[in-house]
Amino acid sequence: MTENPNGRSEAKNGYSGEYLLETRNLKMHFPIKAGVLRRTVGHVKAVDGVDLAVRKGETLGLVGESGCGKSTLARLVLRLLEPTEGEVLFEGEDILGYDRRRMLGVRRNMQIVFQDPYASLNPRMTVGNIVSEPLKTHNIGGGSASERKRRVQELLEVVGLNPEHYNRYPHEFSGGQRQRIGVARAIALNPRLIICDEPVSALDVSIQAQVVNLLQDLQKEFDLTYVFIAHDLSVVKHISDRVAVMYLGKIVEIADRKALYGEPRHPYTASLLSAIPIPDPRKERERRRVVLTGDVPSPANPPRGCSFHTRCPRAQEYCKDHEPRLEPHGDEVGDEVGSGGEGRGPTEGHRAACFFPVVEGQRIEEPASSTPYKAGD
Amino acid sequence: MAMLEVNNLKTHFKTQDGVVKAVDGVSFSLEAGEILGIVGESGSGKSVTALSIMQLNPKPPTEYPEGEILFEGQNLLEVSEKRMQQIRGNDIAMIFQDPMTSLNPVFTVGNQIREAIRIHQDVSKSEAQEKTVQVLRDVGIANPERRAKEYPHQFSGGMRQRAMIAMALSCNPKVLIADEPTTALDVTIQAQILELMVGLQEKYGTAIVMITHDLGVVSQLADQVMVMYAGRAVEQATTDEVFYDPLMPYSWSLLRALPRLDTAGEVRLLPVKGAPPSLIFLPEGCNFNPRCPFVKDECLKIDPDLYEKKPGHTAACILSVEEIEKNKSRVDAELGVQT
Repeated sequence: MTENPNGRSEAKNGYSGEYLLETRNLKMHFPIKAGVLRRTVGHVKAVDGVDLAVRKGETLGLVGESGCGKSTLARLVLRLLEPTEGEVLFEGEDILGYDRRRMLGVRRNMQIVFQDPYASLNPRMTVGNIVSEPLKTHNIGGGSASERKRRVQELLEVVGLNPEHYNRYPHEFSGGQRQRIGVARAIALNPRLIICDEPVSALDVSIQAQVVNLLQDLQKEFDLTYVFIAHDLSVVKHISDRVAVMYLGKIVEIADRKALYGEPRHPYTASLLSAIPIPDPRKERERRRVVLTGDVPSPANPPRGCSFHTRCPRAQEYCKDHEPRLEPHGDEVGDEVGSGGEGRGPTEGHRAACFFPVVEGQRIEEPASSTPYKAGD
Repeated sequence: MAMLEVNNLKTHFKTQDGVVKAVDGVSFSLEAGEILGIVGESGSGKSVTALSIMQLNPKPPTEYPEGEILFEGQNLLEVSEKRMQQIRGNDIAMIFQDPMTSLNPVFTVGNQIREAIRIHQDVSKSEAQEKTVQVLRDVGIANPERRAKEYPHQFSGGMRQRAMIAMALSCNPKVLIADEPTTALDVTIQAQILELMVGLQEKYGTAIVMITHDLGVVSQLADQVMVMYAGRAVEQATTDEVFYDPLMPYSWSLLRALPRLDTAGEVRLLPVKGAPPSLIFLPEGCNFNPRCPFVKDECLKIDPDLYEKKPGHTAACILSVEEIEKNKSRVDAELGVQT
């Protein structure tokens, strides 16, 4: 891990209490080993410099195609993986330097719900044991077995399961019910932050809505903050306040839900949105679709310049040599740049990493101007 | 005469716990150049219907106690396995969900496509090779000559699915059965594959049976829709009718349970309560009654057939059209949906 000498002081000054979670220049480069000596021959840049700030009580959606680094980012935030570089700030403090004991205290406040409800529950443990495990680890719930049981049954009821099923095993439940067990385990410690890593992707449509509604109700009831990771942009739109789009380990656009879906600036976001079929035949017949060519490049060998230029319908020569930064692109661009951006976090407003952003009402294929975009121009 | 006609198809599996009625009385017909969308949750019998048409369900435990599958007038349930081998892949081809497991990892992609061509067509090796390169080019694979010599693991997910489509189309089939062809793919790749399938369908006039759980994909492609639930067809109509005026509470519930890209976040989702029933122990009366938002007393006793509710629009529900409409507007008002 690289030392950042300014890290701590910045954290103190910058922390206004508005953000629950922040990441700064977070990177995870997995080494690729080859040959007899297992020498490192390259790196998979799964997460490559992510700045993100999650406000208290909001739901931040994180979308992108498979392999874009969404799940790795989730694991870095929870320190299930140690990042190569960067900082993770929880309530203003960099948790990467924490030892085991202090980390345990932080983990009480950050929990995760996993994608696969079949693989994320231990088949040999009863539901009661699964949900009471965090209570035991953190010594909460009075410590006595009967008190813990009462708390677990309460939790089962909160997530819509029958408290009498306390002694059943995971295989006795359906996929949707298992995901409810996962949610009960996550909220058992009254955490502040829950990372939902594709919590509904494995479920059927009719069941998916049950879990989405449950997550929304719990957020209201317990004042939770969510980072909601999914590849389904419709579900993300439904549940999120703000949405970040990832491509090849980087955030390429972030904005309020309305702005991102209504006026996407980055051509990747725009083409993703146009690619999703809507269950409305008449609208479908009228829609224009931008079909991206080719596949996502390998994160072991990302393209030079803008990493999206190989598939971008708007790409120009300039994009091949220059790497765009995540810059303000919204209506408030003028004020923000004029005032030096003071008092605003690094990921506030509508930001996109593109030299030739899509302008409202314009087709994605036609570039706006021949001069690269600069915030404030 | 319809290209493919399925009448009252029943596909049952005999198991130790009892008879699983995976498909229990499904009928549809498909004309040349038409796309039929089959939608339903996992376990509703979509894939078993497809495998029944291809005669790929293992026997035993599979039994076909009733029904017929007529392809150009001949009943596929009665033809010999030898005849079936001529039809399978040549007249009726299938694309499977998982492109990773449906290609053989130890043969080159070109080899596998050539095999299909050589089995069904009387061509020389070099002609088969030419044709292989041609179909790979048709499905948009760059450098088809070189790619044909590569193994499946050298292809990306989207390219493997293209290779599967190339193989399926190599013999110009009259019917193409696509079983969740894009479910394992990312949306940008899904858009490529769907565009490709529509293009090929327009070019060759292939009839397509599109099996999916994604209502968006169906609304984009299908002319007709069949909704399946617990092994039965519960609603059949044109795509527009099913989406704008569903007359089976299940289809309607699915549409209300789905966050839509155009309206997501504005209204609360209406989940379908409970879970799909076990196919061995089906509920009394209508299969959907434990989960139905419009259920009434008679539903617990009467097991409805597909009734023609409006011309060309059938649904398995005993409620009258008026009752259904009234219920729909009542729940929509509660949810705050603007219709």
